[in-house]
Amino acid sequence: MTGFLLGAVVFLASPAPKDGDAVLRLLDSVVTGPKDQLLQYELLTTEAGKKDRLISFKVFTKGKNWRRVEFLGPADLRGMRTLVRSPTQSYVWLPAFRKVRRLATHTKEQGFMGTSFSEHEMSMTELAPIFKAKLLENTDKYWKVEGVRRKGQDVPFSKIVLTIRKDVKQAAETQFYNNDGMLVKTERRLDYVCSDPKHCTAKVIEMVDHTRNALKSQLKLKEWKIDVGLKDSFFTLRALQRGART
Amino acid sequence: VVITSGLTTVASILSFMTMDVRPMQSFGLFTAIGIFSTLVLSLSFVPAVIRIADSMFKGEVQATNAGIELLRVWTVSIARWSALHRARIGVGLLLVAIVCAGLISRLKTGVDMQTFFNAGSPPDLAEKFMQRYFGGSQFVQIAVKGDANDPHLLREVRRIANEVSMLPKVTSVSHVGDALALSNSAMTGAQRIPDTTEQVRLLYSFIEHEPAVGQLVRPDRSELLIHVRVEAAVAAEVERVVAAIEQLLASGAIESYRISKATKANALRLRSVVLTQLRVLAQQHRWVVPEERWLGHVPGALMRVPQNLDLDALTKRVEHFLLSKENAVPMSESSARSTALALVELGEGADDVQILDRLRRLFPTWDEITLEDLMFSAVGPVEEAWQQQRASQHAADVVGAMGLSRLSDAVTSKVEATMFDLYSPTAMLPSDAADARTATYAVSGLPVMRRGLSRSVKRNQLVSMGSALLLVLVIMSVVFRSGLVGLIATVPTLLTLLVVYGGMAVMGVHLDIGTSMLASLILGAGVDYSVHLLSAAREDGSGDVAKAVSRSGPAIWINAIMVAAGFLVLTLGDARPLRNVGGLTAAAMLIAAIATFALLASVGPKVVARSARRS
Repeated sequence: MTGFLLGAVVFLASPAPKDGDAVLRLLDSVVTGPKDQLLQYELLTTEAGKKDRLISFKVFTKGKNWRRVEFLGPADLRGMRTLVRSPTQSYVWLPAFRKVRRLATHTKEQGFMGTSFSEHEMSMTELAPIFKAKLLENTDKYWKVEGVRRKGQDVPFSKIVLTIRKDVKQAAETQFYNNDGMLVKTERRLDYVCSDPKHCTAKVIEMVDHTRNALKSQLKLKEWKIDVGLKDSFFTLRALQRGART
Repeated sequence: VVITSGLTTVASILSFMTMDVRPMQSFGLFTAIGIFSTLVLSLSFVPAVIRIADSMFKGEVQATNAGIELLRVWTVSIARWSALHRARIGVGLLLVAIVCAGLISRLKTGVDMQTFFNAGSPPDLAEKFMQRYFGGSQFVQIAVKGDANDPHLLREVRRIANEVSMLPKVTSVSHVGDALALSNSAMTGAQRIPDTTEQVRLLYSFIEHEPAVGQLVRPDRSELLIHVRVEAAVAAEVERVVAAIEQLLASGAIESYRISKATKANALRLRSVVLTQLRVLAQQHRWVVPEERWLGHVPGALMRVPQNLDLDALTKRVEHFLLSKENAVPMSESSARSTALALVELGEGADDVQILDRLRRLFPTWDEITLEDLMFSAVGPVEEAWQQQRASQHAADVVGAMGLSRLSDAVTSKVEATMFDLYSPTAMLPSDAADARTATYAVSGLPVMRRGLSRSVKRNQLVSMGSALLLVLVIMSVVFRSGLVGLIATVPTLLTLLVVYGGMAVMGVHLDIGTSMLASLILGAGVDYSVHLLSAAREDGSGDVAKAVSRSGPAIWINAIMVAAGFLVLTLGDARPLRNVGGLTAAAMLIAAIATFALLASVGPKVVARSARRS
């Protein structure tokens, strides 16, 4: 308990960032802080005139780029696994076909399984290398930052506007703008929980796709562990097809 | 006169209630209520207005009377002339009636673009644009109820779609099997419907959120749709396509089935399905294949599954996979070559244990985990490579049997994908067993709805006209206290109906929901002229034609001209059905007036006088 409080004091007392880029760097350092993470989610997508769709899955992450997803439901998807080794290296294990397929880069732009999330937002673990930021607002509770895409970056968003909570140093809302400067998606992160002063995560993440009749998907956190000691071998192709555990 | 006219019109319009088209029933009911209300006002409000008008505008009314006097004199002279030449006029009108009755048999029914809009109108131009560049705008749907996760049903749906696509005027057919095959090609390289339910279910999860797929299969996968695009714009042509599809489903669709394994019936069934697919490919790519080849050479080639596969080519396929990034164990070119040779040597259908054992002997220094990884990576792709090699050689044989020379790679891969279906270990066969799986097929879509409407219009036309005639006849007989007078009163309107419907046949105007109203409208309004004339004759009681016409003629003409003018307004719009109803009703009013003077003036007054004397 004493350690927790001491950590909180040190974390909260860290020097305040002076400009937009510094705020983004702070955000990145908080998000990629844990060595590894295990998160279990339920992803609910609601679309006007359609039945709600629920997908449940576990996400294992390590470092900045490695990510493995295991699908738990619905029945059609159960057993399917995906692996991201780098922005250009993505694989999927298809249990019904007993084979691994490499995913084409262009599939990143498509909605993830018909949800409002796409691989593009999900793979942007660090924002500072992608966007040049400008501090728009600095209040007691929030930083508002506008990030403009840096030259040569391969993301479909020309601009993002983030509202970052000062207490957890993570985003409360992110607005994504396309190449024409039009707001295309809005992501909201709600109900932050913290395992210790440095490590917090949102229990609910909502994404609204304004280009698809306000299609809304909501991620609900069911389980969250950090620094569980995931081995590098867990993020290999062979582990993907063997379904090996940590 | 007013009461009789009003009641006959109300009765005619009420005959719409016998129709089975809801809007027409509502139209009939509310129009009848409206006319009845007008009748009540005519008997209460109008006399009061006339009285006031008489006292206020005496001079002007006198002036108007001079015009009416002229109309009266002219009409009396026509009636006198008709009475003098009644035999010739009677024969002439009888001939007209016979000719028109004959023409009615040529009257077309059916609803299409031509019945709604004029040539050159924006909707007509849009239809032509769709036909020229997109294969038409008419869609017929085949609704299939069954398990859309079952690959066998999906292949049956594809077979039906293939057969439909070969019908004349059908430009394209789409179904969910196409989307699944495309998705399967991303997973396995073969654009075909996969073999297992698990594979189908997994592929659905990748594509079912796409709006286009949502139009082909229900989210619970209990029903799917085949969309058929038809390039015909004329209702008759579209109806022929619908009938052909219905015939095809009645004669060939399997509605109750079982999944059968490795029987001769299976092989024949699979061959028939593949043969249909090849015919569709031939049609799409305009291959000229003589019919005798389809009947003899091609089925023979399909049954001869290659047994001696080109092992060099097969080894290259396996090697290609081993060197790809999808192999979990990165390999050098020489290792990949030796592994490919070893795996091919094992033969087709080697299981996990055999493969692992062979790999252990090939790479004795490798650790067990790496060997297992390699086995796990290779087992599926090696199995696929055998099938691909067989399909490739088989496709070459079949293309040769069709008498075709070398095809492009893209087309060759389509033929190869088709061959895969021949090797399916199971097939769908008809079954009457109690536990048989079921699938039902129903043709639907706008053309089917239009056909139903067209049939309804025909039936409604006969029923509503019959009931309107009967009601009018009864009212006239009661009012004039004579069945004969009632019958005579309806004759001019009947002749008018024959002329109008005959004219429609000559002008190519279809009997549609709009023109089907004509009979009741004409009957209701047209019979008023007989009522006017016969009432005048009854009041006079002398049987003198001139007197009866003199009393009623101007009223009949004014009535006819006013009703005709009212309906003529409808011809100013763009919508063809309204123009048709407006123009034809206007013409009918004038024809009914002329027919009343020509037919009724010569015999009506005398019959009425005789009947009045008798009663």
